[in-house]
Amino acid sequence: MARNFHTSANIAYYLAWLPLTGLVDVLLILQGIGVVPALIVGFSFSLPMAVVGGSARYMCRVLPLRRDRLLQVLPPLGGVTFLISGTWTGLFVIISRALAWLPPGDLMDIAGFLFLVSALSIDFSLVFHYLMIAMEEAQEARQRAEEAKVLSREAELRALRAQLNPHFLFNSLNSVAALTATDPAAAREMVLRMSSFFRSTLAAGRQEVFTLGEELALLRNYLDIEQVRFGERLVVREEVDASLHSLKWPPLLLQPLVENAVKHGVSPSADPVTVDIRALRDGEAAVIRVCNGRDPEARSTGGTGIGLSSSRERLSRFFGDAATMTVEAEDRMFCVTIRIDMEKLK
Amino acid sequence: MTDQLTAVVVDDEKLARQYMLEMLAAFPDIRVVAECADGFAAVKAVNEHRPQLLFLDIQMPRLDGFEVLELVETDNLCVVFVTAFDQYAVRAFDSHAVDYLLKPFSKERLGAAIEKVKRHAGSGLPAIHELRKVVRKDAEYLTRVVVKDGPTIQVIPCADIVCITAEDDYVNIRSTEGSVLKHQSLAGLEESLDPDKFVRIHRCSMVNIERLDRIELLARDKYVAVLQDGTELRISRSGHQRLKELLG
Repeated sequence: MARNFHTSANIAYYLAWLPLTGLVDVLLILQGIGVVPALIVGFSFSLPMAVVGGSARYMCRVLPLRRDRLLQVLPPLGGVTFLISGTWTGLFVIISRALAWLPPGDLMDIAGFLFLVSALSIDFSLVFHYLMIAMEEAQEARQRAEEAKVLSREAELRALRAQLNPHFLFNSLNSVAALTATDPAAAREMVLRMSSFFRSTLAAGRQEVFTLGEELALLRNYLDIEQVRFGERLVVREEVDASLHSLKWPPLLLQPLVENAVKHGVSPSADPVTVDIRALRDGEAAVIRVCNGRDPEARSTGGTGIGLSSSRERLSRFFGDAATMTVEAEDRMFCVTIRIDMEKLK
Repeated sequence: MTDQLTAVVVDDEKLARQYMLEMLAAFPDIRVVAECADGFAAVKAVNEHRPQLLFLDIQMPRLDGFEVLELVETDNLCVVFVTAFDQYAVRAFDSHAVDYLLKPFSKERLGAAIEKVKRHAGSGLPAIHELRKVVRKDAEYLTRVVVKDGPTIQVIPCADIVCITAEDDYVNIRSTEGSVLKHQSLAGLEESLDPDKFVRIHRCSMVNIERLDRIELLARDKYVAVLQDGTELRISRSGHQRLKELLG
């Protein structure tokens, strides 16, 4: 693709030289030489210039045009223009005199013009190449942005697949196996909840727009399943401002936090532990908070650092600097608080 | 019946225990003498009932399955782990004299486990810390040490340990809470502790690097480690080498 771009840019470049060659021809014809010699002479003046100008591309690469560096870039460019035009005009005059294309007097008359035309055309080459480089860069930037988008989407999908925690799945299935004999209705209920949870987890990754309300529904589903496993050891408290339901939300951002609350709060404790989920308004901010109690005896069940940092990353990718996430880890309590400045979202 | 096996069922989830009991009802040669919902209760029940068979969950409150095994008399105990871990993590169990059941398991699979147990009855347990390494990939080293001190069970976070010294068949674990003896070899304990934190400074002692105050030179090539609580411990030549490497 980049190669095609270069080829077409080169064609455009040499085509653009045709009018300049025409200008030289007109100049020569006005000097009173015949059309055919003027065309031949004009062409042999312009072609080497075009070739030299074509290599200006490398010069433009070396001296990128940047506003803050104009003073460093412009003088060398001017110098180069002057040098190349002067040298070539001089050379051309000498050659054409030696070949006796034109009478010497006429030559001296048009030398000034030739110099001007060649300076102009060198500058034209430079401008042309600078434009081409700018276009190429813009295209590359677009391509990079595309790639980044694809990458982040893939990362998202990977994260979503990881949500289907096998430990959770098999423990839940074990509960179902236990319930089938003693309480078939509860077993059926459990299977339905699990289906609904897995279905919505899978769907969350494909949805164009996902809301906090949907995330909270998914969490309720998840906690209902864990409730069957842990019974009275798990106490769920939920407080949600209904006006936040429509808030656009990165899918499954809270789910791993709640899963951690169960894994590090409820699972290692023999006594009942509360998992507290809140989504409330605080002035112009939305405050979403996941807390769990901890058994101080059961500390050090292993780190959650990696999970939290990936949540933080997803949060900032989605909300930019409108969102902050804070973690409070105390002896008896673990809280993750996400604060979203609604003003900044608008 | 003379060949009836006594069993204890340990799982923190009530439904999981219920399922196990229901399945076991089909095996009249297994008699369940106790069911426990956490590690402490399991240690107590095993020491009290001396069962021949233990169905043991791994992830539990208070003490995990491995810690339970460290604290009970295991000479005549057959252990069947009951976990929800995936097959890869548990495959290594195959090479040991215990069996495992993956939740949820079938009656046939349970029957096979019981058969295996009967064949191996009395052959003892494999090295617990080897098993732990296989299952606990995410937490390679111990974060706490459990010690049975008479009727009470002490759980000592590794960060609180000051130093560990060998005393005959025991190790003396000195922590901020005091000293306690544990029936284990120093080398065995060293293997399961994080080598970036615990360093063997002598044939019979290791220290928590965080609790080290200073190193004093007594005579040529004779060093002594002074710990934050004032304890002084001899450092051997190779111990000094290891300390230097760790401290940089």
